[in-house]
Amino acid sequence: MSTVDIFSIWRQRVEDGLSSERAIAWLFVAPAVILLLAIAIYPFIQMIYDSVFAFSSAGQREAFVGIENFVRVLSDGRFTGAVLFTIVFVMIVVSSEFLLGLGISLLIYSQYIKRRQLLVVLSLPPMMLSPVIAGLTWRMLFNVEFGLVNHLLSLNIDWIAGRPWAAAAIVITDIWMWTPLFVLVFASTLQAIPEVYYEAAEIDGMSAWQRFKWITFPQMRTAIVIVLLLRVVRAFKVFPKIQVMTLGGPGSFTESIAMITYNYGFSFFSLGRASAAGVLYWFLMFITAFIIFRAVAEELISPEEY
Amino acid sequence: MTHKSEDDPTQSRRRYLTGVTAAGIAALAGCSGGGSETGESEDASQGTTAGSGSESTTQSGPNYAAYQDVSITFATSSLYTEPMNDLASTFNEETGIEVNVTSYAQSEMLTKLQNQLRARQAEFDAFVSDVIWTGTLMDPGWAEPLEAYLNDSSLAMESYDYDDHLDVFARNYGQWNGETYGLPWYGDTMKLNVRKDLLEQYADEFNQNHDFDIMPPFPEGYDSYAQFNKVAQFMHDKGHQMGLEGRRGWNIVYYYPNRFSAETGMQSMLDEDGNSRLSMQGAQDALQLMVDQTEFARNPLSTGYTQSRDQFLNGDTWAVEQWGTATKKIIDKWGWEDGVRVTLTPGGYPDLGGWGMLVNSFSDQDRKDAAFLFAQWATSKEMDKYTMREHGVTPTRASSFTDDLKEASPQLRYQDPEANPGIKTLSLRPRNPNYQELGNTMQTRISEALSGSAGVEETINTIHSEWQSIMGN
Repeated sequence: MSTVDIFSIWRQRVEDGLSSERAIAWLFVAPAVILLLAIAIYPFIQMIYDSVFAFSSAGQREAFVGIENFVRVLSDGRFTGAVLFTIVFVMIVVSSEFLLGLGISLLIYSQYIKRRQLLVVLSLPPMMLSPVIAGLTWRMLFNVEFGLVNHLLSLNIDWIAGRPWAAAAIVITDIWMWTPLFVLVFASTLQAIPEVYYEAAEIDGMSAWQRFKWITFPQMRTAIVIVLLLRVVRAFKVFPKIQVMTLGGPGSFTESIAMITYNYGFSFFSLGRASAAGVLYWFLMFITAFIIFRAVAEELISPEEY
Repeated sequence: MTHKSEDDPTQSRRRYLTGVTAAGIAALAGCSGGGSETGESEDASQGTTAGSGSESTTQSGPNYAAYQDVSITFATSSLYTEPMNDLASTFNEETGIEVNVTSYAQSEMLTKLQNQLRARQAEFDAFVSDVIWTGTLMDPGWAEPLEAYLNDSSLAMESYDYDDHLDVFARNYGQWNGETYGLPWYGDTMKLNVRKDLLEQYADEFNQNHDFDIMPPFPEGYDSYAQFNKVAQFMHDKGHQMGLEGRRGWNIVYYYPNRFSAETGMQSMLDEDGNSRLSMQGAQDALQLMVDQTEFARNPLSTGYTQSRDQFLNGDTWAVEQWGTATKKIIDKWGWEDGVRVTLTPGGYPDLGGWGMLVNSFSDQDRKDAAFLFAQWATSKEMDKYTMREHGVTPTRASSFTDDLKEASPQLRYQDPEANPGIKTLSLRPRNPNYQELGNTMQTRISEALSGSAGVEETINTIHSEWQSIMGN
């Protein structure tokens, strides 16, 4: 085959390709993909790259160390403790926020309550605060000597510095802050359920539990999945609240993964270890998100795509 | 009893202004030469005679006029915002050089300094550095070496006298590997404050059953922490709690060294080769004594620097180990040798604290010059006394321990080179580029022990092995 023939064939293929809808679609999404690669994927690859190097205190790469940073991080009891604390924290706060959010939104949309939108709006302020402000506020409320909590309950508990109270204080603060998100999402979903479903159920003689089980809950499933996914991912990143409330103490009892990773990077200036911890952190988050996603994928993606 | 400066600050500033303005005029006139024999105070800035039109205008000195258009930023810990703002505005009044003060929370300051210096884009031209940060900030070359500035006749004050700074301060706040990077600004050691009036009430009862006096002798204090703990237990049984900074934080890293040195006789927890000394006999006893104190202390796990100070000021505790600025407030509140007695920490090894002023090596040269001028002026003989008098920032210079200042601020005598028990034997925290990690490890592990979730032996052994690992030994 001559050079001219090869060129002609190649040209024909390009023209055919460009004329296809798929190629046009790729051209349209290309800018977004490039942007994503630049701002999300590149730093991630950089983090993986940095995780196999040792750095000087001035932040310069000094030597290739292979998996040494990973070994050091995984053999650090504080890191493994932080992983355990974070997982338990996520399970407790997300399940509590879910149950409380569901309960409050069902209460708001019960037949006994008027001015529902107002109640929903009134529940939102905690969610709008920065975690630092929320943490500082609750640190004062939990103060062992002058705090309102001890005063109202006539207790003398060292909420911020004692075991297991420090963890309880962080959990309570987080639940206070993020339950409104569940209320907001669930309330808007409840509002969208057509009234005719409930009218039909009443004609069929369904009990309140049966109405919840067969109408309300199925109608809320997609919202539940989305809000759970968002909250799990966010709860895994808990950091500023802990930093201002307990500083990770007593000891390392309330240290989260984000906090110990920050310490590696910005307190110890061990950027290699921080990168290795970041990679492990990402891996844990990925597995968790994957499990949730697999469990509920059919809620989010049509069967053909899935 | 309160001690207030008898000097009118406006007057002292005016006196100073006269001197510095004269220096500026002299510099602008291109004059040089010394003016120390004019009869004016040596403490004042250069050329104090020039303003009076004296013929003695041959003195060289800082050419402030050359930096009139330069505006610099000075970074300080939030604990010292007030004195630093005062110094900045006074310096501006007197030299025309504008100094903007930016404050960082004490607990976050080192990280913020490091982050900016690593990026070589710091928003500040000069900064205060805690004694234990000096290695971290000087070792990577982030602080400007100051020898050339101190020898530059257009920048250096002839009367500055670097050697007047007590050696322990000059060395620890400003030097690294033989090079001078910082000027000592605030010299401090920890002190034990006890409620003298309370102890006097119980003196007879206590002394009948013990072989030592309930009142710690001035200025040496209790012989040991074991002795102090006996008093603490007695006072606890009488319904009085002591102050103990057991909150997880840097406070633990300055509370433990007092005890470590008192029990081991070693000033530093690291040897010259960077090996941990925490395996020594006495290291565990030191922590055990601290753990025992949690029984006698007021909310020890949630008490840090400000809480322990305020507890004592409020009359909620009978004893607290604290730094100089807090001690000034305590003496102002309770009265020197009236309601309060201030002594060395038990065992006689108070922890060295204090700050130096450093110049950012990445700033433009004009700004570095102006930053040096400010740091030099703020740490001069005159301002060393002024800052003590007005703000309780304990001095770093031998010449500052004048009789009138010691009369007004009795706690000064702990650093007095003449009668300085607090300077002779100090405990030192690791002044090392790895201080952040060493300190973080120590505060976390000791916090575990204080909260009862780890034993003393296990805690000290863990810190020892982690320190060895961090130091690469």
